[in-house]
Amino acid sequence: MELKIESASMKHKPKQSQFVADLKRLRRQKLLLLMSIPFVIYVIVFSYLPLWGWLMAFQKYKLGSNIMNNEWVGLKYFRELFQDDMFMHVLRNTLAMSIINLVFGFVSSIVLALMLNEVRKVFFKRIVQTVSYLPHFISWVVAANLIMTIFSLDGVVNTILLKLHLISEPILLMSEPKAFWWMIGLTNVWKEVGWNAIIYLAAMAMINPSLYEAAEMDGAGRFRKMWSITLPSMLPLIVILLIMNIGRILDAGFEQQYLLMNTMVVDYAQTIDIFVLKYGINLSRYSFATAAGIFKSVISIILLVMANQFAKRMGQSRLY
Amino acid sequence: MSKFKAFTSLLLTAVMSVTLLSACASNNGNEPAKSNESSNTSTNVTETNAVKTNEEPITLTYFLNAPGDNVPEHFKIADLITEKTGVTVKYERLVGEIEQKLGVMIAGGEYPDMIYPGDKAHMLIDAGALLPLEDLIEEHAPNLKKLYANYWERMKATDGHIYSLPNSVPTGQPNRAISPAFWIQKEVLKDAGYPKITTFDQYVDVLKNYVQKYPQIDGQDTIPFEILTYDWRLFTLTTAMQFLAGGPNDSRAMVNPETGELTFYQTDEKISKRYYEKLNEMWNEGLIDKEAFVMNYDQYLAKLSSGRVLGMHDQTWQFQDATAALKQQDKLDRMFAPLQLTFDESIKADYMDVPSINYGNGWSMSVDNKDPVRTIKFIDTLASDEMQILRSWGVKDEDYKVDENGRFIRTPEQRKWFESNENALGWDGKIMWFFPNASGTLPDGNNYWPGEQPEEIVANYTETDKKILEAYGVKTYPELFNPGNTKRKYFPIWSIELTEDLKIFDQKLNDLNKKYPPQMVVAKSKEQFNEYWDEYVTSVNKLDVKGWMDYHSAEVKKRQENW
Repeated sequence: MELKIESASMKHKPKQSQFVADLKRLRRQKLLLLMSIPFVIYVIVFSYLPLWGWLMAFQKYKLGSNIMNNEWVGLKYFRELFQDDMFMHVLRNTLAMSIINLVFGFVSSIVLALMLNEVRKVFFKRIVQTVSYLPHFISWVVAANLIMTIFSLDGVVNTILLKLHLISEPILLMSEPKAFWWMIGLTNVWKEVGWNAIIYLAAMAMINPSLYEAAEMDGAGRFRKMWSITLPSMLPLIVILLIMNIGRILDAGFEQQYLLMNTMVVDYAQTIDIFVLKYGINLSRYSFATAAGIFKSVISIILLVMANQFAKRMGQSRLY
Repeated sequence: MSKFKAFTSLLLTAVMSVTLLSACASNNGNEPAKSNESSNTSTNVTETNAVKTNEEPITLTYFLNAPGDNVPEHFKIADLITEKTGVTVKYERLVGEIEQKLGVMIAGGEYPDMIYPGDKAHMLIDAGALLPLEDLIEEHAPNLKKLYANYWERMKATDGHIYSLPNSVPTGQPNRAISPAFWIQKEVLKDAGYPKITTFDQYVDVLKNYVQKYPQIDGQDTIPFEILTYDWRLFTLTTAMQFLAGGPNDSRAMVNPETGELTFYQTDEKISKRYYEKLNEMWNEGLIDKEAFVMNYDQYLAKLSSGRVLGMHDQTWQFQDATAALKQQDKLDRMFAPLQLTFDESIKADYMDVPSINYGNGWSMSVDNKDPVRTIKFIDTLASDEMQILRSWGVKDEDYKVDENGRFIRTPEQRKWFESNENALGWDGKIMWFFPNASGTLPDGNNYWPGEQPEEIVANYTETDKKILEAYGVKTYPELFNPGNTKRKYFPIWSIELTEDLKIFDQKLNDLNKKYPPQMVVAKSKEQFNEYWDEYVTSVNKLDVKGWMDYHSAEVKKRQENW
């Protein structure tokens, strides 16, 4: 309705009335605007201002010098990045682990949320929820030590497998290069599943109970209700989260791989972030590190736009 | 390899702080009287330096690129120093990553008064954050001038200025300490009847015999040979062979001490391949820990601490925690004795460091310093022999005794007291080493540091130690080793500052070393081993080895000629 009125008035005094209408709307929403100010400032300070530093990628930057006084080198550092044999390698590892994490992470947390939602005993539900999200608060340093102990030769896993006669000799899972990606995926699920399920549980709590009642009247069982009511109600949320996560696909993590890797799996464990740390920041090559950062950002934006476009095509909810 | 520097200094601090810890026993009640005594000596010190203690009290901040226990605001030695000089120092030790910490400092352009940059001095020098010290020292600091007289020119950075004052300046009889070595459990030596072990093959045989006799120790499988491979600590695998081939702790190349010629041994068939081949045989015989290439540093220490590891190649400072743990459990014979091994009898072992200092690695003053003249005078006072004794030995009669021959000694109670970390922290803050100091002997023959004093070293030996040393006809372990070859004036190669390209080379070679040597060691067959070796050599040769060698040859030549 509003739109129609605006367009109608536009015909008469196009510019001015548009302006007045905008002002009116601003005044009406001034509280919302006020509330958003801190976040706008936050984004400007921490996301936009640092963009200035991107200039570093195109110069031979010396720490502590004025950013305008450095020698300009064009795309030198980007060329170095792409020509490095290792770069393709770490890119492969990053993508592989990211995708594994993405798939495992989504499936596991949605399944956990669905199951928790069906639990009727509040006490049991609380316990499961607490136990499953507690690992989220452990730092990776501690978690990595736990994991390495559990999977060591005389660790719990080997002891159990031996007792069950599933294996005749203890195996070292952490030293299998091919298994490393999956170990990353699994340990990540262990650590984050409970935490990630919280948002889905919240979404489920918003579903109108009358839908379930109606379905029950129609004779739907538990699984039918899950499939036909819970999941579709959560779909918009799932799609939004998926789009956002696809934008972060080049952030496969750093600490987890850094702490869990060893010499046997090093070929499969290094991610872009570890590579940048080793060949950029640790060697005071800030320009090189910035170039890698720009590359990551550009890829992220492209992926995000593509995922969003795709969601739009499919008629799903989307970011913008 | 630049990390070696930081960690050698860490090692030293740790060694010193452990040994420093021996004074002060039950004297707390008498503290005030004692302080008076010491303030007398302090006035002497200040008079000789023409520094008046009636200057305004001043507080200086000191950031150290060396993680460790938080330094308390007050501790005995610091309070005595403040009393004498009017200077209070506020310490900040490194937490987290040094690159980030310095990065933030430089980007912000605000520095503490004093900085111990460790091996990151070049970052600060590049940013113009450090104050050139040579004029200040010439003018105001006779003690420092004396301490560094022999090293003055070498301390200069490439721009001709002196920015850092390195620690442990060899003085008098230089200190001899064992760091890199092949280690063997003392129990193994005892069980084998103290055989003379000089080659790696003999060493492996001794380990093998022991494990056949005792397949388990305390209910857990015996681990004949352990290798630390976690992250950058992997160098214990990839540089061990230089010692077997008769070199000291250099880096990727060995230097002929006579001609100054360099050999890149990483891809040398007679050195590296020989070592990896032997390890591969050992692996297939089950003599190497199956988890050697999987475990992290903590797990490594835990294994050594369990007392079931018979031997490994490592440097002292890396497994001190394990030694301490074994001691605490009273598993004294499960501790390790050092051996200098070579490939065969014809090679002369050369494990010991040539007495030298870490140039460009030490106490520095920032451009933001409140009062450079006052600061350098303060540091100069600290570097006087009297103050150095206070910093290391403590207060006479309280923290150490002097026997009839003028030798500094500690009583067993004092030694015990200093073993506690808490006591040590409240005594010298475990920080006193981080000011310019000497290492070696005072004019009266005592050592600057308790940990270097032969009496104190011997006092820490167990019965087994004494038996081992007796069997080999020496009094201390360092005597088992050939002294450092003084013809190696350049020593060590790893302290040569690298250019950006060489740093990248270094990192790339590290990555290749992480990938291939472990695969060679665990190879199931000779063919597989050779395949990995060939692949390794090909990949290393794709890097600019020649550039690295040319640069280092030139630098070594320069050092051999000028030092």
